[in-house]
Amino acid sequence: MNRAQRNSLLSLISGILGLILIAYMTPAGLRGTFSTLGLVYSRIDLLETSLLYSGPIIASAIGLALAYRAGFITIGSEGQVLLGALTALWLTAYSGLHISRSLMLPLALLFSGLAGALLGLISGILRAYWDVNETLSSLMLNYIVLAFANYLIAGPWRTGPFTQTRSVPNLYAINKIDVLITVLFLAFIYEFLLRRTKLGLAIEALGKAPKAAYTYAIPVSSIIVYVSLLQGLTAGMGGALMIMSFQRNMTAMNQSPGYGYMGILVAWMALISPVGSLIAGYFFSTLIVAGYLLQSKGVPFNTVLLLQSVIVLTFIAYMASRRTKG
Amino acid sequence: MMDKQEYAQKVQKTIMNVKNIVVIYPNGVVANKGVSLDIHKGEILGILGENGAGKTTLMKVISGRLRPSSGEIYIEGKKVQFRSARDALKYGIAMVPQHPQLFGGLSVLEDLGLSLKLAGMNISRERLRSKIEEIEEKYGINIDLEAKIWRLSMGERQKVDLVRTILLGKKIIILDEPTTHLTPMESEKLINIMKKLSKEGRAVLFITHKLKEALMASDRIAVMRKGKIVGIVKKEEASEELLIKLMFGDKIDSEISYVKAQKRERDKVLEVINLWVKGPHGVWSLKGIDLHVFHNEIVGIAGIAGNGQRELFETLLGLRKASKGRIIIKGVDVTKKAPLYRRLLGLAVIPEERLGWALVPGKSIFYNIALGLVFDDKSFFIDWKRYKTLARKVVKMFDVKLGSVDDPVDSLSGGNMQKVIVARELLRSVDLVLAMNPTAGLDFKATLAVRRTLASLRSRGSSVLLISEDLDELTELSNRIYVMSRGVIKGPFERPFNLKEIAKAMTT
Repeated sequence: MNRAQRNSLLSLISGILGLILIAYMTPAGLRGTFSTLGLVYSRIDLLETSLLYSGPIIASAIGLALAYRAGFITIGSEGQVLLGALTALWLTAYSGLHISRSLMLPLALLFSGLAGALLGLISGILRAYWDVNETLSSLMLNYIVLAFANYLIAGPWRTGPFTQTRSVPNLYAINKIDVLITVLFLAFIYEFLLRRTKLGLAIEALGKAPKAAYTYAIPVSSIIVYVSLLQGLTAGMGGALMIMSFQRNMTAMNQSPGYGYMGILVAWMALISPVGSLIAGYFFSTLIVAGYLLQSKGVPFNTVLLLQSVIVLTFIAYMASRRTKG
Repeated sequence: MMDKQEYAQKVQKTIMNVKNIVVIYPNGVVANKGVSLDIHKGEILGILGENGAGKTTLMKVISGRLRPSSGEIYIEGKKVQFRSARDALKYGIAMVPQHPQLFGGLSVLEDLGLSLKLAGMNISRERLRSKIEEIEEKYGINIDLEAKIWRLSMGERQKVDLVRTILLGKKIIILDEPTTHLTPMESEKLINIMKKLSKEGRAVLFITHKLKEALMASDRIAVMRKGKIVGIVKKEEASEELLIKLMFGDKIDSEISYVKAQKRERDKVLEVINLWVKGPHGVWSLKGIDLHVFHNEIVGIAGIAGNGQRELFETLLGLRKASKGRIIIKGVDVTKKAPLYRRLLGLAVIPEERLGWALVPGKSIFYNIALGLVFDDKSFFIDWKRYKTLARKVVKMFDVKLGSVDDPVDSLSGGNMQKVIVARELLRSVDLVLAMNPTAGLDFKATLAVRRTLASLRSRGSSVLLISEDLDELTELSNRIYVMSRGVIKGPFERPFNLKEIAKAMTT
């Protein structure tokens, strides 16, 4: 056994031991915890719920994977998901537009995607032409969008006695198949962009050897701008998937529980690969569903978070140690 | 049988011996095939060999950076095992790597302080400063201790590494191709430093592929070929022919028959008029540069590293903005044009550093071939098959040694990397090649191949602007030579070159 194999095995074993230890200490106990976790992977309805929840996560991760390959380390997906969701909500519930269901999803994806892309573009242009760090600018944009969402929810979009918006009408609600098709389509398009186009070649060069990219006259500024657009596009679409499937409306409390940030984690779990994001994102989503189930069994939220973190960390350590050379 | 006295003497003289070192890399390459070597106190031991002969690998083993697959290391008769470079440092073994690895954001003083700390030596800033100044004075090395590392040229960085090694290497000092980034005069100075170090009783291991330097500096020369030591020659017995024979095994033709300079046509491929450029710290790096390159000629730019060559190179490529002046390529004013525009006009480039600047590490050879070519093409999609075919053609034409074109480019040796870089540019229609130190760190054969290629470019009608620190290279290849010194151009000097004049221009 070489060093890489030994390390990856060690990371798996230590992760599992950690899980057992935490599970043992929860109110549900060792058995209760693991049987709940097992439930998610054995019941079709739970697997389908996971698929719904995975939509915004996978969509964000796909664009982020592309951006991270180019060395464009944005964390703007959170704000983009939210803005995308607001856009889709406006289109379906506030715009007064009445079209057929089969037209609404593509239209909502288009508008939400554009909203996310424009938000990404801000960070992209700032970085490409003024050398402003994209991580910071995108972080600040996230807060701006959050404030904007809160303003809409509490102000112009408020309906009824509670601080909440209208809901996406039942007519326009989407199901797991819609989500699946959308993320599959996005993942394969982005994988194709990376592998088979000039843009993909430039992205790889920019991420792995920026100096070579400059020296060999790759139009670096334009590439960064394209990447920022493409990144925001999928995250914005993720927002539409969220609001049109399981979320439906917005309240002051649940604008977004962080699907955009989860996308960041998932993109790295997938070793910044768009197609890999499908698997990593779905896996992550099952953990979220398992988390809800555990909470219903009396396991405190923070313990659930701990369990999820250990699983994700183990996964990342396993993948990372497999990649290192012996 | 050795008699006892002789044995005792030998042990006393020997600081270190390595026995039957075998190194097998994870990709299956056997870099050292049973190497045994005695290292004596107070000697300069030259380690001579082509790139890929296993010199650097052996030195990595000796300096603790690499654990051998098998073999033993003895220090003063005692068997030791190095788990890391730190272990070796404890025994007073330190190495100046071929490519300086420093902390970019620190000042020289901070960088040196940090490495002493890492080696387990805690001394105060003030004591360190006086210690370094002592070394600077003793060996005649000049560095600005407060300068930030990222501001330094490669040559200057190497000086920092040298000082570090003198601080740490109490017993054995290893220099891996130390003259790569130096001018002939600086190299001579370095050899004098090596001699001083050896007189103090330290053993100096001098790795090089330059015959003349090995002969000039070494007390003994160990010649490596294909992972083995094929001979150890004492200074008195060494000659160039003998060493060449040992290095290459069979007889090779070392005569270089360059294409003679073509008659110049009176139109200019490149014209630079009164170019003023600011460097990375806001000071003027280029102060009113005027130069031109005609068709069918190689124009050399000589100078000591850090006199504005890098800024000139970057400005011509379009990576650095000109504050004043004009750059005209083939009659088109490109001063304000993007790099891609210039490239499509027929500008080609051979950068100073290979990995990272010219090649994308971790990507395949055919990807790297495509990198230089796809933007000549209008299509958004990439036909990888085409680039694979091109890559195979390059491999064949230039005799690149590799497993397959799918291998990551980092698996190539320096010489083979450079062949890929040069060949990639030759696949395009090229009018002006901008080359910076194109043979730095290459072995004899690869150097010859690159120089021949540049000469053949000239004979097929292209021009070359050759920025180099190697005066031999410049005088062999150039039709005319300019000298850069402190951001100012002097010359041009015409054939036949007066070396004294050029050297004087470089240093004043």
